[in-house]
Amino acid sequence: MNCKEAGEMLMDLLDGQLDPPSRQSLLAHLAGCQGCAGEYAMLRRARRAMELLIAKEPPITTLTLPSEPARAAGGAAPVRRLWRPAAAAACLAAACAVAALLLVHEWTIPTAIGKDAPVEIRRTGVSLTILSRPPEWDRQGDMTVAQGRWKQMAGSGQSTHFAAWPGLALVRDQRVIRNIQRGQAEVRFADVPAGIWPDSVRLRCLDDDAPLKILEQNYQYDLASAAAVLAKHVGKGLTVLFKDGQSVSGTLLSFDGGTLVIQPTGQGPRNIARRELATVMFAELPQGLMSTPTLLWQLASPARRAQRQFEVAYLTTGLFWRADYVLRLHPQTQPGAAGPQTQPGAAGLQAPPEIIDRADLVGYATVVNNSGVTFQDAQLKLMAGDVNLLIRPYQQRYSVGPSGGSFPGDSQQSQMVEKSFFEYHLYTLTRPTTIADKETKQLEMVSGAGLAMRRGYVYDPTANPTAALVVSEMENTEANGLGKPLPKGVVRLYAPDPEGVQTYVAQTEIDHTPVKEKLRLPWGHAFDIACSWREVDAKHAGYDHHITAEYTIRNHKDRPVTVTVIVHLPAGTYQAQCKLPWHIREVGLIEVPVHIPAGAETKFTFIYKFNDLSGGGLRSPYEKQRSDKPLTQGVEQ
Amino acid sequence: MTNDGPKAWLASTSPPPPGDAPRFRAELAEAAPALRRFLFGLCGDWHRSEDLSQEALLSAWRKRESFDGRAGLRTWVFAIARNHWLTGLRQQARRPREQPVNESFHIGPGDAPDAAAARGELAEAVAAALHRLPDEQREALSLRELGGLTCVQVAEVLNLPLGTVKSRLRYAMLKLARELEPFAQELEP
Repeated sequence: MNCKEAGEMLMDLLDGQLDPPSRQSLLAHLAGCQGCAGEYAMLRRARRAMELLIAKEPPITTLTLPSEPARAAGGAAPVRRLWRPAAAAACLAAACAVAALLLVHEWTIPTAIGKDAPVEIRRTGVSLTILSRPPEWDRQGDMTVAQGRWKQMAGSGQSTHFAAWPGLALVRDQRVIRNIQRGQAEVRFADVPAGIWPDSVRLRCLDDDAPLKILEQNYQYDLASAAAVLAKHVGKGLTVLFKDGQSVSGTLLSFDGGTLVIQPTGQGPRNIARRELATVMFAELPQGLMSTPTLLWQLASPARRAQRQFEVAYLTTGLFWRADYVLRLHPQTQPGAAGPQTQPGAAGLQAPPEIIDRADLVGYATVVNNSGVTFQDAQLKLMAGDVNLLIRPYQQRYSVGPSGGSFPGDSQQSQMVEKSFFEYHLYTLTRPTTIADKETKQLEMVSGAGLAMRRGYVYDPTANPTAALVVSEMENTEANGLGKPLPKGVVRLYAPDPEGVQTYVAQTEIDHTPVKEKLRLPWGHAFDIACSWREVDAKHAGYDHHITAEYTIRNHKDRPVTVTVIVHLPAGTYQAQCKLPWHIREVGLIEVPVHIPAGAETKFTFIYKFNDLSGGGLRSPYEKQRSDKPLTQGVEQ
Repeated sequence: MTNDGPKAWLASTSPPPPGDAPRFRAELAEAAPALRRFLFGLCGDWHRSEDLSQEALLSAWRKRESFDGRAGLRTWVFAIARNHWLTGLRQQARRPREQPVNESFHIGPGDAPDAAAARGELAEAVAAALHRLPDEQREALSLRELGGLTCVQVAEVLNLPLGTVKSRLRYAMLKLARELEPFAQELEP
């Protein structure tokens, strides 16, 4: 084999298309001929270079294929027309109505269309600041739609507050606009969320020289959905195709969401249920419908620039975050591990040793994106704290669907940096992240290991008259391994069962908790502690009332416990008596720690005297429970 | 090569019969990414290539009745795209030459790979080197390497003898490799 023959076969060798004997002889030649071997190396490098080019290929953004009716509608039109908004919408509308055919890898970067020149808009960066749920929405929580509906059915159904928190985020979207001509230009921004607050949009030109002037700003959100297209088509001609293959052409007289009334040419009107139809074909696309929510600007440019930098900032619903904590209890420690603390108790009883649990806490920020837009490589900031908001009715129009999605596991380490900001705390993700539409993302926010939690029992008759709550108390301090501001969120407790398997125990909610504050985590009711109370004596003299309540607590555990009994005092209380030591926790709220030996019962009475001078407006919180007992004698009803 | 390597779809070259619109559409959809790559090779701008692909696909869709199935569908669509491109060039020749702009990097036809290298992006350098190839070499190379056609299909699209195509491809790749000599290390497979 000579070099000329070898040279002609090199490409086939590169493609792997040589038969084994030819390949053998060519390789033998290459082994002995430096020139040909060098040429082969160059070919391989060139192939590699082309592969690299393909690897750097950006995703397809706008490529669409027309569906059947587009041929009739736009067949004669010049090809370029496709890029006009109306025709682009036509394509999409037809696709909606007939069969969506999108040849799209990712709808990440939109193409905006200028009036004449091909104005291009590219997103260069985006930063998101997601606000936390304001307290007004707390009662609803992040209910799914199904939960909301259930609650609505269970309740009176009149409340309008059952909608889930729609989320709120500040989006700062940096974009580059190319080919803006001198003079006035119309620029369309697609790829904005449907929940955008149009009055919050601010467009800022980042160029120093010859900045653009904004003449007008519009937000167009009448989307070209199948129903919207039909509704706009009333009075115009269309052709419908039934599922059995028949078709009817005529004028659309009305459309109510389920039924089309069509008057075929020269015949009487016909009611046609939408479900009977396979396809609806329109003769033309009604004006004024957009394929996606779009911001439209009229800009005045003093000079032509190849490209201009912009920042668009706006508030949008559909993005929310919440804090979720996982508290993992260490395997059971023996009570008293922290050392016995002797306090003189009632009736000469020694205070039982405190129960100290050890646990690890991990806080996750759960970010949910229902905005309808994917934010690629976004700078993510999460704001914790109750921000005052004016929720206007029209801004709640866009409902937030149930969230679903994936929960990334441990691959994401703590990457949130916490900073104080105004009166709040801002958690910033140190790397860009992509928040796809309809995605739930979890990011680790805070963590602490080996936290000491004091376990206690609280008996509050107004919450549950027969059982005591298990409450863990934890200091949010650095000494305790934490010392980080904790945003409001749900805490889930996991504890190892006797086999050592982590088992879900309970969940509770915490409020925004600053550093050095005490976290109180109520978990549920203690199984082995039975409680009851009764009013043993009530004396009423005019506005003056003397109430004697008796509390009984039985400890069926095999170790002594301390139960803190909560006594609610009515307003106007001027005297309280109890044999046990007690202290005031808040106004009108008394705590009585009661020590109960294993398997024993403890009873005590609490006497309080109060004036009901306000005329019955303020009563004992026990009022409801003793309503069967007539309260007479001079008490104004 | 990526998934669109020549072998991957050689097997599926039996063309859809005329009138089978859904299949025709599906095949067009399948060909679109490769088509865009080929057009990128010609124009050097991903966005422009997307526009051009759109035109070509639309045009192919409209003319689908005239597709006789003698050539493969891909070959046919690529030929349409190439014709669009050439028509555009002829129209442009009467107007001042448009500067191709790339979305992530700016590459003009006169942009030397060294200048691109100074900006530190290898893909930029490759795109720039590709643009410095003579038009007929660039065309063949784009069809083969970016569009993923076989040499036989390239010959069909360009309406040239197979031998000519092969030698063009070889010279194109050698020239490309020479242009990218400074990156020889990084390009070693």
